Amino acid sequence: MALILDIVKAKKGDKDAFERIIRTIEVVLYRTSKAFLQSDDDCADAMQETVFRAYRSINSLKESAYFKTWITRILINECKRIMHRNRNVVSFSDDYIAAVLDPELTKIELWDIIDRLDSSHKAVAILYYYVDLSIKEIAKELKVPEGTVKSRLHRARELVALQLQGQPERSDTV
Amino acid sequence: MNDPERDQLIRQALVDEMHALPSIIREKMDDTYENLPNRRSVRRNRLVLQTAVLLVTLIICILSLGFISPVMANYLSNLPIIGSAFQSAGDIGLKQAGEELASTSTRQTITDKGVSITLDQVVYDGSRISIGFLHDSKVKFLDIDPRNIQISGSSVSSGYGLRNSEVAPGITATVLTTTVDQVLPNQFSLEIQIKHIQTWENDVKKDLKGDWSFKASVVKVLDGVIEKTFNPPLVKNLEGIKISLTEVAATPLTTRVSFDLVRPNDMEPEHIFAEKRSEGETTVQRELKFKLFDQQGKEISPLSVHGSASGDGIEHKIALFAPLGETQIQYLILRTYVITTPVKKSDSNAYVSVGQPAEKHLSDLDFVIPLIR
Repeated sequence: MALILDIVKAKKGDKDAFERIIRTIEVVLYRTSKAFLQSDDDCADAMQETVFRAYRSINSLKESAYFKTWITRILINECKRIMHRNRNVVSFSDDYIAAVLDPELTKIELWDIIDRLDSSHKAVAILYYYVDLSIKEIAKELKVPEGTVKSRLHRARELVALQLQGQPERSDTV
Repeated sequence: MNDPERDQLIRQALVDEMHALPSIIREKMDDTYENLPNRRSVRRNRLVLQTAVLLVTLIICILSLGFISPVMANYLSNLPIIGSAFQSAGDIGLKQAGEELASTSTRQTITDKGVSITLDQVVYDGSRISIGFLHDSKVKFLDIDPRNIQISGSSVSSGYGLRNSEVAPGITATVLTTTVDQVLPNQFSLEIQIKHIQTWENDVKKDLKGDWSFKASVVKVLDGVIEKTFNPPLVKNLEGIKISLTEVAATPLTTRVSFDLVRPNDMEPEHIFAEKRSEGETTVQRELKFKLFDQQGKEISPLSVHGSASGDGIEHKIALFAPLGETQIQYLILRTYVITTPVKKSDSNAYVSVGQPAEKHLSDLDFVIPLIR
């Protein structure tokens, strides 16, 4: 409920409310961008542009309950734009491409497994399990048939389950 | 266990496992929050809203016409536009101060092969030249040869970076930033030639050759600039790495650190390509990274690093960082890190990462740089 109230306030121009909303979903945005982009620099650019765009156009969001889906769609478009740019342009700032994870992140186990999936399965797995998009919505965002999403999801599920079963500390949860 | 039950457990496990952001993301997001502009309340009466929609539609129509008609392009170059190239696609320095510091009377539109490109803004602060273009969103890539960025017929750029972003539906801003490693006059005429562009329409890529040549009068930003030269340089050595700091400059757009670098061969990322390995063999790739901090320990966001090498093995590096802002800065700290990434030789002559990079701070190479504003 607090999130919905903040969305209403943000629509009325409350900058602090908007910042609070974004802070609650920063990690979702990061994980989603990481499904599409290799470097953390690019993820940071995509997230920044997404936040600016969402801030400018939050009034176009009709149903506050769909905020996460709405902003994820903006983020995916931004990631695609950066992927396209990267196909064409070699940046001269290579020194900063290597990203360094915080020590806490390196402890993550299930995320490690997701990260090791190839890009097509990773994108589907993150959008389905983490952003909570439906198969139909994922198909629309990735511009692939629903059947393709289902088969990729099935494969991702199998791989995740297989990996988790190989880890004694996880065997009780799956 | 069926799929829905398994899905629920995976979802829960993912949520439970989070959550920290890499530092580079954390800082960028904090910068983003700080730079969110104030937005007016959306409570407007219907008439105002309808008028605004009509006006925006009209402007977009005029702009769109400008991209297909040379006559309209002339009008376009004289019209105020919704959002500038720097505001839309600039880095943090350009977003903060590029607008007011850009050289005036820059805007001009050139049309060739039915495609119009508008030179919107140019700014030079002694550290970098940034050039903002506006063009149809179907134009995905401006192929600019660094040799074609010139002053009086001589090239001033040896490399550049591009950023782009959509300004309005169908209109994209592209900002080119080139680091300048020579002293330029306080006022000069800059020539930029674009001979090749790529368009994408309905997933079809098209190469177009033409001539979109611009000439802009540029005035160097002098206000609020602090430059400090070290002669002789400040020098630090550690295990074959030698850094000689020659200059630091703070402008309203950029913080620049110039230094000469000597490093062992295996500290160059390309080094692994010179070694023979069979497919599947693993090794580590090592490279150096430089970070700048203020006296409170706050990292200053990196923008780019540009390097050129002389025959004696010395690399001349210019690292650009975000501007320092209004804060009273007495000194800066330059820190050097070595990044080690485990990699594996793939089937082609390439390497893929097989683990997370590790970062080690080489504290013996820290520089404390006095900078009294």
